[in-house]
Amino acid sequence: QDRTISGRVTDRGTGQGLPGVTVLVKGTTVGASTNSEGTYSLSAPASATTLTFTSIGYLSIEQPITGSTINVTLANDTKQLGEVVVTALGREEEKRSLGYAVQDLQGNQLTQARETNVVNSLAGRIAGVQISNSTGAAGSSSRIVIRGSKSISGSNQPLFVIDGQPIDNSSFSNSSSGGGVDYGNAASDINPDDIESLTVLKGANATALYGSRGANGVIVITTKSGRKSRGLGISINSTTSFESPLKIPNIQDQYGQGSSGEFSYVDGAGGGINDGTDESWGPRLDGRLLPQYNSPVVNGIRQATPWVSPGKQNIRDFFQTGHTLTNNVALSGGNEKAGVRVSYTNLDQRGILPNTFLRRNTVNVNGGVDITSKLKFSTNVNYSETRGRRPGQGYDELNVMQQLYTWFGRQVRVQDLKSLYKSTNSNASWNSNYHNNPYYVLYQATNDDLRDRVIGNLTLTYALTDWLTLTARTTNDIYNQFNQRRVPSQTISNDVYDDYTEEKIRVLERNTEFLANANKNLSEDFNLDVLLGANRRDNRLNRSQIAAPELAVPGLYSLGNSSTPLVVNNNFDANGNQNNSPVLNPVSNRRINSVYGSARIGYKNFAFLGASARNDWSSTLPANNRSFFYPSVDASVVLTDAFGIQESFLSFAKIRGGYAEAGNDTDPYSLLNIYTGGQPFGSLPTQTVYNQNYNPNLKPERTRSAEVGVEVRFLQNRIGLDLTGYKTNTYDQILNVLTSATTGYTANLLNAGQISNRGIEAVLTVSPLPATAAFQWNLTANFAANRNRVVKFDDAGQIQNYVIGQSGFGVNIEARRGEKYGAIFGDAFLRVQDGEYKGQIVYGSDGTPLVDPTRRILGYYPPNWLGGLTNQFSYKGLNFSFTIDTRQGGNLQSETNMWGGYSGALKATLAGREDGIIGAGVQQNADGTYRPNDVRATAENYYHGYYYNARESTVYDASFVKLREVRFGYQLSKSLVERTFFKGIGLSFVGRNLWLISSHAPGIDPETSFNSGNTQGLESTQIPSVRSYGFNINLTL
Amino acid sequence: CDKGLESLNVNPNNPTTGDPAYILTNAERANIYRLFDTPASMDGGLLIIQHWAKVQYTDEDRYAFRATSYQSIWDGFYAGGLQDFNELIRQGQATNNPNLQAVGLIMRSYFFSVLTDIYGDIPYSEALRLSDNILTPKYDTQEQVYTGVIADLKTAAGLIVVNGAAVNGDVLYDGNMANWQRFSNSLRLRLAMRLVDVKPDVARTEVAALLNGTTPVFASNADNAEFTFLSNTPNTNPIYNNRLTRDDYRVSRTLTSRLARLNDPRLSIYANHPECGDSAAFYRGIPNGLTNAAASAFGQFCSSSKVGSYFAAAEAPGVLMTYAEVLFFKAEAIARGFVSGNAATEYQNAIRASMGQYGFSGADVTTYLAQPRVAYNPANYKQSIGDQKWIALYGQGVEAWSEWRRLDYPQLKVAVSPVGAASGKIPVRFRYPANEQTLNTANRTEAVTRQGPDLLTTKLWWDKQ
Repeated sequence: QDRTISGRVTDRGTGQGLPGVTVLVKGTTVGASTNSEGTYSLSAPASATTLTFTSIGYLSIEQPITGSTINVTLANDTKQLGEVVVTALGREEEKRSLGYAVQDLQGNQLTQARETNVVNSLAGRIAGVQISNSTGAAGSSSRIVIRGSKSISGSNQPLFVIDGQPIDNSSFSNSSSGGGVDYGNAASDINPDDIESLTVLKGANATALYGSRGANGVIVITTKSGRKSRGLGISINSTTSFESPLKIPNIQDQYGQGSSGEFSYVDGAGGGINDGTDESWGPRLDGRLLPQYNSPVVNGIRQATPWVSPGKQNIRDFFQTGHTLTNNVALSGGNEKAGVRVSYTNLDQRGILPNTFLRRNTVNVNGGVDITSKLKFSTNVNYSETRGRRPGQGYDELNVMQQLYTWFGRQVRVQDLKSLYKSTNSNASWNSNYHNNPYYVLYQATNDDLRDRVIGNLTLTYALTDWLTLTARTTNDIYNQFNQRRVPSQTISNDVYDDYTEEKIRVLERNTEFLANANKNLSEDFNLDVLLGANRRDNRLNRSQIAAPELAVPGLYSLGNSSTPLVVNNNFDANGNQNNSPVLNPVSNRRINSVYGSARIGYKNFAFLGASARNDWSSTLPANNRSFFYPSVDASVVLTDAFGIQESFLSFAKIRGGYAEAGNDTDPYSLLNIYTGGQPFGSLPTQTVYNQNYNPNLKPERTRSAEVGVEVRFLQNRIGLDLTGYKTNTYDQILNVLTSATTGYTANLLNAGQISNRGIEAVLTVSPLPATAAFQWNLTANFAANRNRVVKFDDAGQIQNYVIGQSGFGVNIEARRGEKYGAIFGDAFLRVQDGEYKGQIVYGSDGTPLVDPTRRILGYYPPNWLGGLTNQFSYKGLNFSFTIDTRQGGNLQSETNMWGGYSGALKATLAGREDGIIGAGVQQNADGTYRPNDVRATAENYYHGYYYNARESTVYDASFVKLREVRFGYQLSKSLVERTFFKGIGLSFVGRNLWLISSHAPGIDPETSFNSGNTQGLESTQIPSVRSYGFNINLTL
Repeated sequence: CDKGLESLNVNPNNPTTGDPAYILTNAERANIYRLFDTPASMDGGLLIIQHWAKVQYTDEDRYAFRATSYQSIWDGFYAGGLQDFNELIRQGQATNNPNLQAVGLIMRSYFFSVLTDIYGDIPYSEALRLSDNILTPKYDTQEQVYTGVIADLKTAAGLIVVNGAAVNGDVLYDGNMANWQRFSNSLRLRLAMRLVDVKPDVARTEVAALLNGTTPVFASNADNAEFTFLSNTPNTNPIYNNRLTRDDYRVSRTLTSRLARLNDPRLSIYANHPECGDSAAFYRGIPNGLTNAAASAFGQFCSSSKVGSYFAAAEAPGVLMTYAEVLFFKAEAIARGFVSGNAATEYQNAIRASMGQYGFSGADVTTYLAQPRVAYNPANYKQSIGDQKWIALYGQGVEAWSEWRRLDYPQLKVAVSPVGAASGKIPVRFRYPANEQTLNTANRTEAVTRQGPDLLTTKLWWDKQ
């Protein structure tokens, strides 16, 4: 008589369910594997007395069969096997043998308190990883940088690898400080529900086998497979969350629209008294009667209505509660020889801005089979379809925040604008001169996108002998993106025709790879692991943008409805000037052929020496520089084993170190200068010398890096510390240098530029309570500090500075020789150089601050250090955790504050409204001496000058401390679950980005950007980041 | 391992060779557009010189120019214009087409002169030489720039072979090299006259050579260097494009009051009647440099005069240089004793030519010229010529600004509410673009040290008085 035994296996450290644990009836082959929640069920013969539980990286245990439910906890095996991590090329290696730092996360840490963009989930959890989510718009992009910026002009983001397959993380966003749309970054297609584990390879030693693309680190993702479960497993995971703005500017509600305290509405375009202005220097909101945009018109005369504040909630009322629903169902099944997992996920996110959303359907199939005992086949295919409707960004009238935060009549009730839009279905609004009705923009000037993506790989493995394995793998990542942009004629800056733009993008990355892996014990003491490989990588990008600037039938957004010739790829703007963001290369192809190898030799499993080498041949470089080679070497020694230390105080100690080089190529077609064509002049074709100078003599760029680390654990592993120090030096950078236009070109491609980064990372783990206690407390703290320096540009020293990006109003983000990367450079106030008034601001005859004609560094965007702290508590089925993270140091320039101050929207502009302001500082006398400032300016003039004259006034410390995540979970006890047909039920309440505990940038979330590129440190009328809270239900069948 | 990689990197998208005809068409269109576009003209010369004024968003009219304007004028002319004309000179030499070379030289000189008249010292001899690995061109003095472009124009006129090698794609003179020769010489006349206060000998020699009666210069309005924009986007006039979405500009009160006092018939072309209010029968300009509030308080937008429909039309011409200017220079050259002749006659002919541009002739002009206020004053030729030239140059903001700086006439009052940075004076130059401080730091610093602080009030080399 068989009997059914079930139970749950959990990690002693984290209290979380352990998947893939092999449960066997001792002395037989009868058994099962735990599912993704750690539960198992098996039928044991009556004679069975004991179960064994084994899992790689954990101490195996035996448990007598005492009932039908057997729950166990497994402790990490730090002594013998050690923790196994997934490293380069998807290899599983013992962490103890590695000569470099890695850090990993388990999938359930990503799915309970989830982010729609998986990149955001890493914030505060991995030392040395900086995440910057651009804005709170649904589906917005996120930037991830590991150990600081290494490339001056190229990508500083890591490579994403799923099951050995590199995937694309492009961003086709055209959002900048001047406007545009953020379409998200492509890695946001990764579905957290399908992730088994995620490993962050930080340094060049860890990533040497990926070649150039690993120079910024690699995020290695292993997806869930069916192999580990025996029999059928079903799991359902559902998350519902609600989003609201985390922080919005502090807006004044005492003075309304107008200038000089006067306002009267006639046509909203200057016809009345100051009714064309979009600033709030008008009359006090004291209930006086004034004709307003929504006052009733009787017999052609606009009646005066009370001039009152719409209340403090006015701007908040504009936002709707965002709502995100994610449902995942996964089926898995398998036996000893085959397994499959099929998962479907539906994500439906409604943004906090009306009529914005992100919707995604993902199907993932992961399967493998042992065709023979030596030949194995596995595949992972992921299909996703993403639809978005995105708001405009940046300083642009099509970003509704531009008016709500800055240019606005503070007497205007947002809800009235909504009614006006609904009742007239038009762009009627409070101002006819500069601003649209924000509801009209969101409902009529829409930006829609659709992305279909297939990520798939096929892998064949053949075990030639028990120590030699051959692998062939082909991987494809293909997606098509289709963007539609509609700009109705009624929008303020448009002409009399509706505009329509379509953009089509096709991205392909294909890798074909052959690997031979030998792992052999050479003697009792020596183990050798050798890998040899060859790879062909093809990247193809097709992109076209077609615009119909004048539609014939209004409201019919179709290219066929164009009344004029279509504008293709838009190399020139309407006036024959070169467009700043044309689609220069509608067709772009690249191939890199590579061979590589690595070897690791281990001595008595406590000393390890590794080395790797790789040679690439890139199609993008000139023939004589096309081939480039780079090596790495690393070593580690587990001191506690080497010296036979076996004491309770020092449980584990290891030292490691390594040196690595990497090379990098450039973009396709970067060697020869081109001529671009534009709109014809009548029937005459046109061409121009393109403003970019290319370079036929490019060399590959190079990175050299070294890292050392030490790992120690004390008191039976209850305290662990992992310290890493590193230094990287990237030189011969292929740099597209913004050059003075006086050279004839605005940009010049050079091998110039050297950046060095050095830093430290620390990970501290503390488990104060003994592993056997029912109540568990685990604390993980991360710390990372990176120091970065732009060493030089060209050897001749002609180039001193490099412009990374620019704001629309005179701020540059620059790399300046001898300085930290990412300087914020612009106008500062004129200050007294010496004498008794030294350092004071000099005011002009109009009472506003003067500008120093010499521009200055106003700050730097990279932070000084990053930190994160996670506390986890668990007691039986209950667990509670929270994560606080911080970014300290770094600056940003805020156009929200600049224009909000200029326009009189912010509360900060209330001081001096009635009596004027004498700014703190000095006046210059005719003889060149100074006297204290004695010129009283009106508040309107003073704040105009203060906020507009020099950007110095709105550069802020971007440090923050955030309560990043709170999670409260309950795993229903077995006895409760048994009465249902479920095997496991878990509930959790989760919140993310709940509280901006500390910040110095007024009214905005300092964690902000326009896209995931290198131009950071600028803010302009941001769509607020969101606070999200909700619940998660997890069911297993 | 590199088999097939070479062919993969052949650019399938854009050619690596350029057709000179296509380049010329775009270079003429784009740069003439740029000269009359918002940064240099509508928000620049036309406000400073008080042809136009702003009725809202009045910052520029109060001399608070945008940093982006300084940058876009600079970048646009250097990287967009001069670069293309330089390429045409190169191709002209390479293909042995002296006419193409001459057209390139003339247009390059024109825009170098525009740049130096706006900024002062600028990169010239080392500019446009990235192929010589000059990443940071030094700034030449304005004197060096003028010497260079005057010499280039001489060279260009000499290279021209009328009815010689064809110049295709020329949308200014349709390849008519006789016209180009006249333009080259007339432009040289303009630039030589600019030097009268600082290098009178050079000015005298050059002007005398150009006005010797045999050197071809503009001889009628038919010779004018005028670019005709087209009726359809993207080839329409910049003012027309601006008016599609903006309504910020009005005619300056300085202009309306002076032209009304002179009964100048051109006022009906330069300005429109207000569209509402009791002044609909008159012209009502806006004082320059009002604050936004003051401009708003000035009355309804429809109650002031918009810029004349002639200038706001899609096909309104972009005027580089006119016959009237040549005649004004001739009158001045006579008055200065550079050449012989009757200054008053040439002065009157100049006004007649200007009137002729707008279709005024016969009695209209005769009556106008007969007025004492219009009469040529030999005792103060600078004032007579300056006042009338200012009227004739309406719409050519940068050139009108330069001639005002040179002649110091007409007398203009500073804007009503100038911002502090202008130090209460009408600007006499633009500031260097901000990016030069980043990208060409040392050379810009050297220029500023030499020329004077990088301010709106620092006088240019030729602007001696």
